Amino acid sequence: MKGIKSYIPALGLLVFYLVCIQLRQAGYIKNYWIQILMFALINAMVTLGLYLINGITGQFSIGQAGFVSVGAYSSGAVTTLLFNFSSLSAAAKPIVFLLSIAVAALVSGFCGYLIGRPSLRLKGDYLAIVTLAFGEILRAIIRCIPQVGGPRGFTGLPRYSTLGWIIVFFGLTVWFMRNYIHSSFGRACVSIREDELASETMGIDTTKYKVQAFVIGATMAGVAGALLAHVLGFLHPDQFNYARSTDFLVYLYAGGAGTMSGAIVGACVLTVLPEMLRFLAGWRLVIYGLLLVLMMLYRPTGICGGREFPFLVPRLKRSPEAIGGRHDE
Amino acid sequence: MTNNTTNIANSVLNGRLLEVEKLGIRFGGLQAVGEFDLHLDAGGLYGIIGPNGAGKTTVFNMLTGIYRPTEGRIVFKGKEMVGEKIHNFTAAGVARTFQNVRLFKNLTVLENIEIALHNGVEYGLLSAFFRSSAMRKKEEEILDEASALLKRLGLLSYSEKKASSLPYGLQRRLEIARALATSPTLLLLDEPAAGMNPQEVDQLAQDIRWIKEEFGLTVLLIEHHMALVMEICDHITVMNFGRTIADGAPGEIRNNRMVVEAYLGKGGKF
Repeated sequence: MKGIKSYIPALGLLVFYLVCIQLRQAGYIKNYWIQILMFALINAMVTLGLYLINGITGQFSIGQAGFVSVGAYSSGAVTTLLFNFSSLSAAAKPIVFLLSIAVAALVSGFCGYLIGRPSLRLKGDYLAIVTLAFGEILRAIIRCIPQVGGPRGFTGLPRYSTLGWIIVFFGLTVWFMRNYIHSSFGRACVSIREDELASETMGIDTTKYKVQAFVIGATMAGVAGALLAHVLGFLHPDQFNYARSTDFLVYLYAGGAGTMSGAIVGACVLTVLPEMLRFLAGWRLVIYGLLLVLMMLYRPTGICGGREFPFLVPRLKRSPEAIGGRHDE
Repeated sequence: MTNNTTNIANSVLNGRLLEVEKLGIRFGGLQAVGEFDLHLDAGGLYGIIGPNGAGKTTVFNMLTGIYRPTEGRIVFKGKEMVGEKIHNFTAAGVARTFQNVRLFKNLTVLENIEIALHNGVEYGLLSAFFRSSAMRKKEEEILDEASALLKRLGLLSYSEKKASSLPYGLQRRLEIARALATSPTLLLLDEPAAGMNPQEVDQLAQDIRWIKEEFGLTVLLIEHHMALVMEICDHITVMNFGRTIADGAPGEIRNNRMVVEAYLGKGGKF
């Protein structure tokens, strides 16, 4: 019984995928909206990574777009420069794609370690400054690498990312994240957010877990970046500027920084909303901004208001012996 | 060097749990604590008293790795601890509570304890990501262990409550429970009776004795509440201006002229 129940979220994603594909084939939704959906899920993955760093561990990182660009460019380098996709057989393409995602994960995770290790000893604002600088430095570096297009942009990336792939990786990200948060490591991260000194006196190596959370968050952004690169087929350093990093922060805090549901819903709603407001033409961003301000005023806990979807909270059974049948006193 | 090693070996032979020798710390030009000695035998109940600003909490912070002493040695279970990180002091078996309760306020009582059980976790990062069956089994054990500990301390019925929602006395008790969850051999209590009424203090005296026996601990406490210290401690160290001014059994301390002077001025009487 329990076995079947735990597959419901995965089945739900599968059904969602099939419905989307059917609707597209029947012509009810345009490819354009499928692409928006893909962006929404990719943004949700990046925001989940940020949620682990800012929401769970209580650090303040604002350079998430930097890690997305590391993932996007490194995976693009693999699929475009390392392998010539036009000469690949149909069977080899997904393998190359997966390989490029793995490379993106490793490289961005490693960058996360390089940045996190020295700077997570800093508190609050200082970490924000370091991560901000990281994103900007990275942008400058990418401009200097002619192999990936430099300032002209990286063109001709194969469009390997399909809705199917993105849903698979989104599902895995959510699952891994849920499992991590509800493990002893996740609790260690939460305790750092709550009171770092008390956490340390409980025997928790706080530096280790701050770095760990940071690296995991960076890795997730990198994977999302790899998927993004192969949706767009074109990368430019300015796509990953400071404003982009701020977007992810807005997704997180608008959705509700306290829960995974908040990160996911925030990213999805705020990716889709500006598109739905397109009929307003020039007024679009004004209305978007206004909606955000209204939300801060009337619902400061975010769209999800601190609530979590039930399937994102794994349950454990307390054995009756431990409690001894009756409650104490 | 050889001298040091023999000293350490001797301290183990003597059954000394903690040897603190000539401990001192200097903050800029201020010598906050100096020449501080402390010898704790396993199973004892020790107290540190002294007027405000005497350096008691500073000593605790050095004994738990929060401050790094500028002079002296801390030998715990025969191991030199100066320079170790805070979490290594905890892993070695030193646990503490804080003067102004430092619980994880927004988390539940149960979660507070579970966090403190972190060092007993054997599963790796991959097990956590995949929520393997070994990981789930260990998590269930942690849940049971935390519940059992809460039950022993009479806090089980609060386990799903937010820590900050507990009455003050219970928050203090929870902080002790959380310290116990790290399975310490030495428990440091920083002013456990602060803010308690006389009934609560009586209860606390019993609790401390009971916890010491039940968990096989050595207890070192800082306290201003003189009646409590005199009642439960086997041995008391008195500090003033960062120095030890007296050291002995409660009876001796009560009649020590220096101590009476430190607290009440010349000509005072307890």
